[in-house]
Amino acid sequence: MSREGHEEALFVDRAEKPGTVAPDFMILQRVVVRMLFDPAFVTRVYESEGAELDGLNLPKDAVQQLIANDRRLWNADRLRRRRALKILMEEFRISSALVLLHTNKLAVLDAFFSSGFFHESVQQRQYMAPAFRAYLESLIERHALGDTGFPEVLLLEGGLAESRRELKDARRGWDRLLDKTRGMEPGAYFLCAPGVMSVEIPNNTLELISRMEEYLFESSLIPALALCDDAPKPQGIPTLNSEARDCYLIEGDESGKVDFNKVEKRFAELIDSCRAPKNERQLRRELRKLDLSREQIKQMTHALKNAGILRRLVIQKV
Amino acid sequence: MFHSKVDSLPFLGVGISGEYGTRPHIEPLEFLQRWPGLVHFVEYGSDIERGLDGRILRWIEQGFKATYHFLDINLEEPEDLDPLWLSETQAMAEKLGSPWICGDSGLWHFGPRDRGHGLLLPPILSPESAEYTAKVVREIQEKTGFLVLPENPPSLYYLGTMHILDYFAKVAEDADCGVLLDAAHLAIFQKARGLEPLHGLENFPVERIIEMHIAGGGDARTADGYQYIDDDHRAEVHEDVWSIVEHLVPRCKNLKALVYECEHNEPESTVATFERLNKVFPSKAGEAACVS
Repeated sequence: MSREGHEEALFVDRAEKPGTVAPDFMILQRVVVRMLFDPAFVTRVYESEGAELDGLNLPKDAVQQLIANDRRLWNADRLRRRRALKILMEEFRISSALVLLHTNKLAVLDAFFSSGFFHESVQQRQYMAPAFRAYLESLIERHALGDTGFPEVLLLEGGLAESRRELKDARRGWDRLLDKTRGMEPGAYFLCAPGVMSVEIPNNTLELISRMEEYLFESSLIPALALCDDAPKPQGIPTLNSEARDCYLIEGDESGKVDFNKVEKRFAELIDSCRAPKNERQLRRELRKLDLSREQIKQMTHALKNAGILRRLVIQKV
Repeated sequence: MFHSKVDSLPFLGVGISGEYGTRPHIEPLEFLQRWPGLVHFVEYGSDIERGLDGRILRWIEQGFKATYHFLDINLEEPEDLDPLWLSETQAMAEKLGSPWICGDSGLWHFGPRDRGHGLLLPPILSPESAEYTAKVVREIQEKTGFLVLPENPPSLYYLGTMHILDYFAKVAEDADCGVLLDAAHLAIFQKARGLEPLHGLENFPVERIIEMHIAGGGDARTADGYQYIDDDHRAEVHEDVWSIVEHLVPRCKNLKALVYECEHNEPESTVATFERLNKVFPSKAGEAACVS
């Protein structure tokens, strides 16, 4: 992909950035969303007579009108949280299952909707999935999940989730990686395509994922298993190697589908470095780390462009 | 946009709702065979993630008419309008041969459009929100060439000081668009504010109403005793809703389409309402809905 400058991308980029001030009515809409998901928040808003919302600088009469409603209406759809959690758990399938395996409590995951991670993401108009990832990361220490394989699985599933949204935003006209070209000198640059990134995880992480997948498939055959004391638990979950690690390239296709493939560590490092724009000299320097000849560097650059992993941008004087 | 388009819009008559991927009890093609002349078009609801399904494609392939109802744009939120949504929505509406694009105004999702973010919130009924909505509607009209009909949505609550009819009158005026007036949703609003079903219609620019919706709904109660009207699209239509429809239809000179949202009911339970609607809003001679 070759872009004649980055003005087109900047022109259509209207996604609200952190720090952007939304109009009062939209701030109020986001408060409503938070109330629909979180009965504890509803209680705080009502019992404080709206003072809970003071930091948002909403007009007083708007807050008064909000809390003049029967507070029970906010929880009329009592499965709202469950449906949203189901969708999040589909994307963080194994990491969320590992949380349940090691805590035995659905409430640990459900508490996401009462957490600052959720509330902040709604109020700032951000995706819920990265907020859920950050919430899951916060559980590592709180629930001593460090040695369970959970952080490593989360790293992979979180990378896939990030890649999906980066691709999605780019298709909508907000190419986040192009933000990094702002203020750069005119010239030719190489940059990862949207959604291209790498992760490094212990080399038996996929085996752990595979064991958990088998367990989830088998337990899905009898949903009422949750009622049984003798419900089977996952078997043969490996302890992750702390020494031997593999690198994976995450990339998506035009339809937005994301996949990952094993790559050499040096190649993964090249990808990581190209998440920020590199001019031709900088790219050559990175490629030399792969012990490539001049001709091979040329071929590799061409191949990375053809494979849709890197793109060449031309930033022009405006 | 409105005045240049309105005279060329086709008359569609009485239609039935449909949505991507759902398995309705009422299959329009079968319904037409059993009760010819009662349904003249399908209003198809979807989003750019799901697109068009085989059912609606078969319907239009046989020469029947359809309209497109979006389920995925926050008209109140300019950040939500992006080139991808515009191009894909336009493509779907064109594929269906829809004469306009319509859908509930407010929020169809919180945050960016994504799985798990879906909901339906009414707009905050303030002049500022109406201005934002009008701006988005105007932009959709300019970029797609389609007339847009924002719809008054249902809710358990309404925030803001404006009457919902005043809000949509302002949107229509500012955006120079049409309106889809949902009679069932309006009845819910009037009840929530303790007003009569026809309250506020005397000042509403009824010539902007191109399409109307009618649907059943009824009392519901949560486990903790909260009572509300559930807009569940059951077959039986509330009398308040009939009074709005029967008051408006003769007064809306530009009304082209009247949709009975009932596809999840047993077909037999909807026939009497379809018959009544066809009497209230008869198809015009020479404007047969079926083009085959």
